[in-house]
Amino acid sequence: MKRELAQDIGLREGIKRIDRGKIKKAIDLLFTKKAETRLKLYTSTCIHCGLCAEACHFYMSHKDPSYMPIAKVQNTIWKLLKEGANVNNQDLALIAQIAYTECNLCRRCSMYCPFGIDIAYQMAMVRRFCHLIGVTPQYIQDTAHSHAATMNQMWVKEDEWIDSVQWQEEEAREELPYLRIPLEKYEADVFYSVIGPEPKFRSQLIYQAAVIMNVAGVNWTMPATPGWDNSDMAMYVGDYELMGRLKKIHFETALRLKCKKIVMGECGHAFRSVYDTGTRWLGWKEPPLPIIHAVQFYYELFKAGKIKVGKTYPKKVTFHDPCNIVRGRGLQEMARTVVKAFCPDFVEMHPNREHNYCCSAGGGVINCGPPYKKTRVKGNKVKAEQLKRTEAEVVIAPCHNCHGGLEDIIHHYGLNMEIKFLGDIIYECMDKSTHPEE
Amino acid sequence: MVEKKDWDWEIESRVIVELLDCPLRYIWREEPKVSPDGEKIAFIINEGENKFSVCQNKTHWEEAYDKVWSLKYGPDGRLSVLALTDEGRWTVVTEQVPWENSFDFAWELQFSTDGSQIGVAIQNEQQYGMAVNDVLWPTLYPNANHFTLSPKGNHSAAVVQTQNLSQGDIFKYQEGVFSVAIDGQTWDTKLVNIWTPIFDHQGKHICAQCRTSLYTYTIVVDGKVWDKEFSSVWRPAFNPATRSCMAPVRIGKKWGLAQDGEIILTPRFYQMWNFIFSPLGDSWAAIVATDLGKWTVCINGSTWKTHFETLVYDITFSPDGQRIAAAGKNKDKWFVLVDDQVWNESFDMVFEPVFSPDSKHLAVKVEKNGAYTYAIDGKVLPHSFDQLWMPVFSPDSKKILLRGITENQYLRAVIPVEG
Amino acid sequence: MFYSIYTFLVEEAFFYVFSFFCIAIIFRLAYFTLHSLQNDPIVLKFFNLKYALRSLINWTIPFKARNMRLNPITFFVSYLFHICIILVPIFYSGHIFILEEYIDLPFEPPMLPDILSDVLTFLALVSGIFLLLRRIIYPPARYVSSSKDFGLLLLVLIPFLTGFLAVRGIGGDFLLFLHVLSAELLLLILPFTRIMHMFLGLFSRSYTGSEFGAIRHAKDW
Repeated sequence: MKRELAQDIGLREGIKRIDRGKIKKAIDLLFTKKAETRLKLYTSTCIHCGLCAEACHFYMSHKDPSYMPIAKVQNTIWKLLKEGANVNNQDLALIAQIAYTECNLCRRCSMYCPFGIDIAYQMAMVRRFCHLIGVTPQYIQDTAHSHAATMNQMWVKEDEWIDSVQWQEEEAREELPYLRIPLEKYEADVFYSVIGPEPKFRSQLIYQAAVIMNVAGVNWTMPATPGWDNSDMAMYVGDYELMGRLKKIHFETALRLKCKKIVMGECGHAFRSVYDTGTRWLGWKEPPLPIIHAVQFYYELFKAGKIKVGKTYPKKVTFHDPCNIVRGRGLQEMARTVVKAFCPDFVEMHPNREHNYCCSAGGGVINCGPPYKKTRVKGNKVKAEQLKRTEAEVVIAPCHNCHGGLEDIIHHYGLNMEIKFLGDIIYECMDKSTHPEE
Repeated sequence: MVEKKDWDWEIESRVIVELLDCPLRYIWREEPKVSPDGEKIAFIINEGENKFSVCQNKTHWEEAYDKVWSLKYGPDGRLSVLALTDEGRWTVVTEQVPWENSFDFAWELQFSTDGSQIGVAIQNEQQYGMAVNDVLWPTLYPNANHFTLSPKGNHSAAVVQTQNLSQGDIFKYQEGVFSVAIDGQTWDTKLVNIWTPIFDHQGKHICAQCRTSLYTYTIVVDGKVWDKEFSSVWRPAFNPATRSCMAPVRIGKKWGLAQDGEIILTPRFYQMWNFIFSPLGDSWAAIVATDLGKWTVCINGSTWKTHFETLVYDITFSPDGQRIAAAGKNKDKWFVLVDDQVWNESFDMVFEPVFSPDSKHLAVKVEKNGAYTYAIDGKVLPHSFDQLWMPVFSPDSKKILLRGITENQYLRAVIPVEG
Repeated sequence: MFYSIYTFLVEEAFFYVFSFFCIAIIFRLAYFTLHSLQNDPIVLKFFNLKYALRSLINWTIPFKARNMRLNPITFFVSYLFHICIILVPIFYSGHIFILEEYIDLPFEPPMLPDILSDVLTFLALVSGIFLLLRRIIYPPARYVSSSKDFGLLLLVLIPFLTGFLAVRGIGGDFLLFLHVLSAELLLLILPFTRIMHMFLGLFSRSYTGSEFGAIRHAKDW
């Protein structure tokens, strides 16, 4: 394995401050004495066959075995099992670098291992270990800090959130004069939550969601308090206590407003955290309220005739299946139903659905920031080739991280493609004449 | 302010406003709010040309603003909003009277228990704090969260960021830059994180959840951190009688309870939260999960037999502290849970249960098939409403005030409690 | 002397070895089950029989899983390898005759025609050597293989090689002795090696199948 340690003060300073006692405690807790059964099971079951290699976009792009899924386990967990607390500092930093920036936790390899060994789970355990010893990449750690201080991912202050929602409402009224974004509306059917970057960088998505909600006549609300952000970098940094805290406030905000269900914007990791990982940590076997991802929500509105095709989308499009809502929730056919209705010139990328290649940004990798941009872009040449083969002009990706990742790939490999959210297409092409007038 | 005993408690149903008759001087109206005594109903209205105002019982406020939001009746029945003035400044307007102070932004409008004190979170020139009854904190901070008014309204507090953090300064953050500011004055203690500051009844003390490092959670009381550290904690509460502080705490992977820093209930729950004291402080209760997906109520250390798989929520003590009610949920069906018994009927939604002052009766707002009604002592009222507000018991516990909208009429009714 | 040791190995020792083998496996499986109750309750809570079976069945059907279609030769050879190494030791006529000498079987045990046993043994050796070469030649497999992995595969192949030769009268009693010894040694260590994947693989596959099916509404093949 040839890896340079990145210029990341989170890792470089982290190892300087390291406490050996902490390392031993963390190894005992996660990998040896108190290890979860899954970890022991996977370690005992893996027959070192290397059949997971082709599951990973990093391997497929580099054809370097050190990037294959099980190699990442070998260079992290097995190393820690072998060397224990004596593992040297440089190696610890590299362990963190592998776990945080060379695995997107996309779980594709679980589908390629004959025994269904969950490598993503093991990489998440390594991240948990790195969190416990305090060696984490700076950018994602800062995001986790923001979560803890403000209950959102982007240091968005309480007034900034309300202000951006009210601003988008005002903007959208230029288009639909009666449009509302009802803040703090009790007993609404839909509690709509988004991720931190929406008010910060992509506020047009709030605008578009508002237009879709209003045209479809949905009884919806957004909160004016923390709890509006459904995202969760704490999950990806390995700080599960904080993950639980974030999910609690998100659920309690919906429960406080007595809404029937939670609809989440087009984000993948937040969905994973809310419907499954965070919920489970808190003690719920299933979420306390139904959790509907935007893709499913659009599909339901479309099937119910609440959103109609006003005009078809003229360009040739393809669809990127995000891991967390396809491999994570099986929404692939719902997405295709909507995409095909709006976009007659639709072409599949191959492989697709559960087998689609990852965007290489998810799993918190893009959140580790600029030091790792090259790694994730070069590590996903296979995605660029997959996109190129479609000859589509537009790729629809209903996930924020996928957007960021694909954007960088398209730029780097000189693909002439646009990236759209599903909501972008619906907003652009839906029949808005049905907007109710009071 | 009209005392509750002096409200109209005669048994009758009275239409307060025929909504459709409301003069159509607006482009649209927003969600209605009603006064505690049920005599008034108000909306935020859009008067056109981006002007907003308030319509209460068919009467419009005289002033219109560029934006109005957060319409709320205080406990004393006064109507307040947050309004954006012509100068582009936000202020609080109560009963049509704006505050002298205005702010770059205002939100989180809140009231003291008697409604006499009105607090709001504010931002001026990117500095954050609170204002109470038109008095602004003397010191503001780079950021603030968890804006809290004491029950009497005599003090206000928030978790504040005491110094600026440059982007990505993870190490300075981990040294601790957060504190609690009370009326603008911070504790000397700075911590990595602080959440949910809670005032005691007198407003003299504050307890809060905190994190002393990324890994160690505990409770801080008046700036003093408990000696013991935990893997996590949830919102603490002051005992109203003794003023000792209790909170759910996590050791390893299990939740238990600590009081003033000492474990008093050995951690054994998968989850334990929403901890509350009885009004007299002689009992406590919390929502617990005895196992993954097995939710129930724990009172003074013993758990109920009834379990719900999806959710237990809104636990409420009766005034005498002898009874407890909660909402329970299995899959998509909600139930009323009281004293470890489940009422027969299931609902689409169950709201926070309300006990009568004598603790003998329980009224719960419920929703079924898109219509709202009350379930009182297990019996569901035959009438249903398009909108319905929470039930209010008369001081003698014999009647319930109902405030609801049906067939486009807003009415208030007083219904007798049987038995 | 060989003969008496051989008899001992075939008679008494085999009984003990086989009992030990069974008990050790049961213990190992029980350990994982009990361990999960204590340390990882999620596994059993989210176990779902329907989706566990769905996953197992789809991964048993040859070339159903995408990875099998991507690596047809590897999967074909490894199917073959596994079929051979399971069928031959159990259904080879010579083994059954020995068994019948010591135990009165209440039924007519099924056995493989000798010629088929021969062919399967030969295929086990060929496919085993293929897997060994694959470990050396295919970079991902080489990257993750340790000397233990090679050693284990050889250990599995030795009883087949010795058996194959012994049946042909090559090597005489010594080889026969080596055959029995190596097979018993394998049984003794098997519960403590990766060869346990034959049982543990069912566990991990079932759990992953449960999560993919019941929670994630997705295929895992």
